[in-house]
Amino acid sequence: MSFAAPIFLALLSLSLIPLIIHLIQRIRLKKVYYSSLFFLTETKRETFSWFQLKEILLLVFRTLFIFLLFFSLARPYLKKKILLNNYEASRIIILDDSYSMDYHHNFKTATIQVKKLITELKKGSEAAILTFSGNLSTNLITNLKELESYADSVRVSFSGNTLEPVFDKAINILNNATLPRKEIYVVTDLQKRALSPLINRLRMSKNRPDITIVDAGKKKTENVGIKEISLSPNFPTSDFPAQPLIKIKNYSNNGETRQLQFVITSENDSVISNIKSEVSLGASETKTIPIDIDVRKPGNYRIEVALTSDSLSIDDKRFYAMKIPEPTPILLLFQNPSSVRYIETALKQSYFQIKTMDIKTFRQGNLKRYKAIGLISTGDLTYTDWQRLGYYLIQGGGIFITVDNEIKEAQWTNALSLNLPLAGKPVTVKSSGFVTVEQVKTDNPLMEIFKGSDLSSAKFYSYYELNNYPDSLVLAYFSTKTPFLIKGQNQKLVIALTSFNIDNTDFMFKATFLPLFHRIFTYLSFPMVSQEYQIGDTIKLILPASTTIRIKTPQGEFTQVPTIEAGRPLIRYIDTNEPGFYQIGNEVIAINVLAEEGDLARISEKELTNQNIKIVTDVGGKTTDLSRFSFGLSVLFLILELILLIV
Amino acid sequence: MESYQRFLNPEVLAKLKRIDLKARLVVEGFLTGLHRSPFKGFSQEFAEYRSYMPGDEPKRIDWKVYGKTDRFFIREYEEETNLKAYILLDASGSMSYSSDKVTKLEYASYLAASLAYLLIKQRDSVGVVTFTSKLNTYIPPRSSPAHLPVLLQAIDKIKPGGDTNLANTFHQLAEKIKRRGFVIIISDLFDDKEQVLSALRHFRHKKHEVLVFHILDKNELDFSFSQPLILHDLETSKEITLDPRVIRKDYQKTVNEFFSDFKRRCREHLIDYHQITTNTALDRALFDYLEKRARLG
Repeated sequence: MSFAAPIFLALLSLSLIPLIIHLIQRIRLKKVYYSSLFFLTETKRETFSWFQLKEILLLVFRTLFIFLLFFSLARPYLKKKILLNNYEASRIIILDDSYSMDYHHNFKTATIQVKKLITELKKGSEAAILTFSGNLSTNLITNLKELESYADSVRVSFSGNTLEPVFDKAINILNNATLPRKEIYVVTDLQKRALSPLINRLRMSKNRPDITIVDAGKKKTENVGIKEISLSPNFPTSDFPAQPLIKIKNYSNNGETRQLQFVITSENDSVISNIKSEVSLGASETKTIPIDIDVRKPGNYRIEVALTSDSLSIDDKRFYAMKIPEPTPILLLFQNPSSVRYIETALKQSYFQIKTMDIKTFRQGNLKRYKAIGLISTGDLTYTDWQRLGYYLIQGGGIFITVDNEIKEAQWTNALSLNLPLAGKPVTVKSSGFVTVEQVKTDNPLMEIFKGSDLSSAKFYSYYELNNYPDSLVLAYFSTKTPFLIKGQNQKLVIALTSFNIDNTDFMFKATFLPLFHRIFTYLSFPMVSQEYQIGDTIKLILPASTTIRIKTPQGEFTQVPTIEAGRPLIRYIDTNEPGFYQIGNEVIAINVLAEEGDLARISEKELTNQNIKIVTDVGGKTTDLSRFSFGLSVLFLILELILLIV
Repeated sequence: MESYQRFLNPEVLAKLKRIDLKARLVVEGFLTGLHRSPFKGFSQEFAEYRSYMPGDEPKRIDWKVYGKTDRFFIREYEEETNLKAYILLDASGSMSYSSDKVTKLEYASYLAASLAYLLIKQRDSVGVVTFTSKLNTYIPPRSSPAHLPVLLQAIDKIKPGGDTNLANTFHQLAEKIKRRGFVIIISDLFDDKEQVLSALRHFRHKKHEVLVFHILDKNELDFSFSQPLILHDLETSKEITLDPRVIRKDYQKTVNEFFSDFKRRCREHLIDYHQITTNTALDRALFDYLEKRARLG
């Protein structure tokens, strides 16, 4: 038996007080002068009486009451001892350093357990420490002192990594282990999202080493975190200012109330808006809080949202970089001017600076100055033209293609160096009647604004078909189940498989025409910066020049020389280990923690034990808390004493 | 309570120093209360007539004299007495016990003094005998009022101590008192029951009237100690360790059986037995005496 607060054990001696008082009373008996012992000598003495029994019981109850009271204060617990140090083993210790371990003192408990796992190894054993985040990863070593110092150096990371990747790594290391006994210890908070993928995989596997999970988490948890910051609309412009939406999630089973602070600052660090409000969430409720701001001026803005801190503070803060673009130069390429007329008219309504050009002029012009190119007539483009456009695409440019007649160049996809697995050229299909647009994927940010809108009112009399298109990239289908709009994979490319001529469609006269083209060209002309970077992501940015660039991060300021890839200067920044704003040149990027890591729900122990995974709360054994039991027992003895006194 | 009557309380008496004062106050208090009692007077001889005074009882008016003289005269009586009373006062060590404010001996002294005062006032002859295991003091009975201070002084001087041998003392006295008399015994009777009863029968055999005041402390009856203790015998200095709670019931049973048997045996031999605890008002004992005295005539 062990004690969590052994200092109270010293007080156990106080339980002797009733016994001492009893003995003192016995030893120092009061002497009373009495008239005569005449009758007492004649009185029959009983050897046992109710009073003696009562006195003995009272003494026992009092002693036990005091003893058990202080005993419970010492917080006793039973530990089922597992001998760890009587055999040689190759042991991998996987430490969960994901940010959920920052809850209360979970990580401190975990590091203590890791050190125990090292120190209790038998001499001659070898061990390695790996962390979920990958911040620490050692090979199997026999110098356990050195390993212990590594364990001391580990801190909670901002990562939300799961166990699966690091477990694979552990298996690889153990495959090279020299000792016959191989074991894996995972010191974790038993977070469901971190362990579930591995458990599912372990169901299939047969040969695996012994796995023991050391539970360093709390059984009862409560947490509220910011899940997401988004903008509505996604691509704000001077004409369409954005409304930030803050999604907050309560992971607890109780209602919670938090203070929310929303701060938006401009490029020169001046605060534009600072809004505070109170948010009440029911059990497990997710709430989206819209924030009313009116920011129209082009530029980079930093949005910082914070909740009043709780036991897991890392997910109580979130960052968002909002960009309102300058008027954007767009090139529309045509074969005959009438084909570009409607699209040009639609885009002119917005902040785009439209330049139209025929193919001849295009061959002589400089494409670099345009943020996006619209290929309205593509039939006469040669292989070289396509190659040139492909190069423009690789350099970060955005291309919109309407297939309004058959593409003459059969190798156009190769020349364009498409990441899209498209084969061959589009084949025209003349419909006997007309087709309409159906099945619009409004969950894609590009098509989000068409939620609730009807695109099916427009009629198309002919359309084109492509081979081998992945469904995930199709933004909308025709009623014939063939794609209407396709989006490039990791490339700013949108292909419309029809033409927008008056003899082919009436779409230009529909309300959805202008927003669709505005949306497509906004997407294509924006810099290729992801809205949602997470801890550990690599920031990849195409720069206008190859000069040394200044990088500002939460850890400090650096300079970095861009590498040249595909003829354009490129920055790859990998050291995104801390949430906050990262400024690379003029671009501001927000790095956030993985919001889902804030869900502290635990995996059921049964699920683990079913997979023959042992669970211990303390290395060396499983503990049973006896303090409540002993306190209850002391109260029982107090009640018994009172009953005895009343009786 | 009228002023005199409060002196019937032993605790009040204990605060007074002079024994003669205590005796007088007890008797005056007792007699004040007696006006409403059935005891109106004793056997008396006519002494003289005197004029009727307001407040005299009309029944005491001699109507024959009124018929002759047309004036109210009251008949005055002189007490007739040839009773020799012996107050036997136990001064053994056990009599010094007290669980409260008044010891048994103090109580016995007040009772003895009060009885002496009352008897002298009635013109009876009173003597006092104090004893422990032997006779300590013997003052023969006299009826003169001048004899009262002698008796009271003897009672006042008693110091408790020593063992008891009641039977021997009583046998001795039974032989010593030649003329038929009235023997008042004030004792806790802590001795062998059979021997004591035998001695009391000896008194009866000699034609003495016997009145026993069995003086006890309340604690001697109910044994109300609450904690384990060592009891030290005041007479023998023996000690015994016990838990009173354990033996209380048996003790009470033994004591009650003892006293019931003693009382029954006394009644069989026409001996008046009265058990009195030290917290009892003294008039209770005096009533017992008067009852007995009235029967003697």
